[in-house]
Amino acid sequence: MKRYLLRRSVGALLTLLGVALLVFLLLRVLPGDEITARYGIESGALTPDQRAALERYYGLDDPLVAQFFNWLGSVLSGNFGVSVTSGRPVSHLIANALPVTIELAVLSTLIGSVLGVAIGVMAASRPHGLRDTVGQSFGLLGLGVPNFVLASAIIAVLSVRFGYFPSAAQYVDLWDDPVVNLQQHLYPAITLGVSLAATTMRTTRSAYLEVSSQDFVRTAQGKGVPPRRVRWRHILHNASIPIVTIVGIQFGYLLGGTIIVEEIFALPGMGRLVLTGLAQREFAVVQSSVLVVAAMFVMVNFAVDLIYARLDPRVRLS
Amino acid sequence: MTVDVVESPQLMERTSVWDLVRRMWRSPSGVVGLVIVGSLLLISVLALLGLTPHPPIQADSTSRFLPPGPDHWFGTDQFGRDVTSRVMQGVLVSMRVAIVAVAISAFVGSIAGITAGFFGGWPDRIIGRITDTLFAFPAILLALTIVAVLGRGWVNTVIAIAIVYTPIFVRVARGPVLSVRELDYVKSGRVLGYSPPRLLFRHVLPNVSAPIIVQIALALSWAILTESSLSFLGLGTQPPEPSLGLMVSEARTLFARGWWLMVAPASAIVLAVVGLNLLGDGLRDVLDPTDSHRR
Repeated sequence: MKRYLLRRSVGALLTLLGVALLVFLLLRVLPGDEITARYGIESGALTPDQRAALERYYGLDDPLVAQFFNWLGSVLSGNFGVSVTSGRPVSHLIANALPVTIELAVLSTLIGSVLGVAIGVMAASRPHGLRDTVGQSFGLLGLGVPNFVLASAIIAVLSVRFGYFPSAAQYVDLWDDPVVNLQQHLYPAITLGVSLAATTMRTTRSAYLEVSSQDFVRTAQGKGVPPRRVRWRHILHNASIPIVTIVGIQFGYLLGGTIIVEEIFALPGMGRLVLTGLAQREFAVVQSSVLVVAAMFVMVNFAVDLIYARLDPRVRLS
Repeated sequence: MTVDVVESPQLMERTSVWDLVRRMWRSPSGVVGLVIVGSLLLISVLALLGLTPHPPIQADSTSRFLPPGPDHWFGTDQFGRDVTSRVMQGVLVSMRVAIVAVAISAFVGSIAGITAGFFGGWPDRIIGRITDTLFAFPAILLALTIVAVLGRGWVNTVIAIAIVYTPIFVRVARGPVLSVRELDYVKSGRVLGYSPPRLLFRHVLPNVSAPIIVQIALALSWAILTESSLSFLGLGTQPPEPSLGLMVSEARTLFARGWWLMVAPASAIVLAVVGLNLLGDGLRDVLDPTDSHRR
C-alpha cells in the first residue's frame, strides 16, 4: 500500500509537471503578450528601447526554459503573479473563483447522484418493464442533451416567464446571503446534475443488475427479507463500488467542466476566469487557473482510487 | 474484458461491413442508431450538394420571424433566413468537423496505442506519460485553450478536438494489444521473421479493431458535442456559415420572438449525439460478446 501510494504520488507529480509545461508552451504560442495586454494598441507605438525595457521588466527576455522554471518556482511558493488588466494578484482572483466552482460542482454532484441512483434502481428493479424503458430513455437523453442546450433552454424560459436574466455583477457570496446564493446556483446545478444523473443512472443500473443475479440475493428473498430492504441494503450496498467510482470521476470532471454553464449563468467561477483570461491574453491568470483545475482533477482521481480500495477489500493496490 | 474480445472465434473470421450491418439490424439500439445516423448523413450530403429548400445564408427582411409553415418547415430567423436550410447546413458543418477530427485521432491514437502496447519499454513510457498529461485536462478546457492558441475557424476546431480525443484511442488500442502480442500466432509470426509493421498491421490490428470501432462511434458523438459547445462560445465555426451551437446561442435572447429558433438546432444536436451513442451501443452488442449481459 505504501509503495502504491508513493508510486501514484510520483506519477501524479509528473503528470502535473507535464500539465504545467503544456499550458506554458501553449500560451507562449498565443499572439500578444503581457505588454500588449497591459497597454493595448498603444503598445504598437512603443520605441524598441521602451519595448526592451518592458520585456526585461516582465521577464520576457529570459530564455523560455528560465521563464518556465521562474514561473513554476513562484507558483510553488504561492505566488501566482499579478493580473495585468485588473492589477490584482492572481491568487486573489483564484481564491474568489474557486469556491464558486467547488460549490457548483458539489451541488451538481449531489443532485446528479441522488437522481441517478434513484432512477437507476427504479429501472433495474424491473428489467425490460415500463420503468426500465422510462429510466433508460432518461439516461440516453441526459447524455444526448448538451449542457449548453439545457442551460439555454432554462434561461430562455426563465427570461420569458419571469424576466430573469443572470448577471455576474449580482453574484452574492454564500456567506453573505445563503438563500440568494443557492438560488443563483440552483439552475446551473440542475443543468450539470442532469447529465451527471444520466451517467450515474447507467452505471447504477448495470451494477444493480449484476449484483441482483447473485445467490445471496435469492437467499435473502427466500428467507423473507422485505423487497425494499433487499433492494437497498443487500443489492445496492454491494453495487456501490462502481457507482461511487463514477460519481467521483464525474466530480473531478465538473471542476473543469463547468466552464460553459458558468458562462451562461454568469457565475464568477474558474471557468469564467479562464475564458476572460484567454480573451485578454493574460498568461498568468490562464496558466495558474488551468494548473489549479488540473491539479484538483488529478487529486480527486487519486482520492477516488483510494476510496475504491477502501470500499472493496478485494482490491489490492499494487 | 477485452481479452475475450480478441479470443472470441467470431472475430477471428473476416467480417465484411455488410455482415456487420446485418447483425446490427438485430440489436434494437443498433437499428435506431443506424437510422438516425443514416438520415443525418443523408442531410449532410443534401446540404453539401446545395439541395437545401432555401439558400442557408440568404437574408430576406420581408420574412423575418415567420413561424413554422409549409414554405418554411422550421420558420425563419431574425434575418429572414430559412431555419430548415440553416440546420441542414449546420449538420453538415458539425459532421464534417466530427468526422475529420475523429479520423485523425483514431488514426494517430491507434498507431500510438498499438506501438506502445506491442513494443513496451520506453516508447510505452513516453506515450503513456503524454497520454496521462492530456487526460489531466478536462476535455472542453483543453479544446478551448487550443482553439484560443490557434485562432477560430473550423480547421482549428478539428485540430483541437483531434488532440483532445487522441489519448482515448491510445488507451483503447493499447489494452488489447498487450494480450494479443502474447498469442501463439503472433509469436509464430515473430519466429518466421515478419517485419514489425507487417506483424502490427496484418496480425495485431485486425484483432484489436473491435473496441476501436466502438470507440469511433462514441468519439463522433463527443466530437459533435465539443464542436457545438465551442461554436456556442463563438470559438468554432464563424458566421455567416451556419453552426448549430451558435444558432442555439443566438436563440437564447430571441426565444420570446421564436421558440423554433432554439428547438430546431437543439433537436439536431441531440439527435446526432443520441444516434451516435445508440450506434456505439449497437456496435458493442455485435462486436463484444462479453458485454451482452449488460442489457
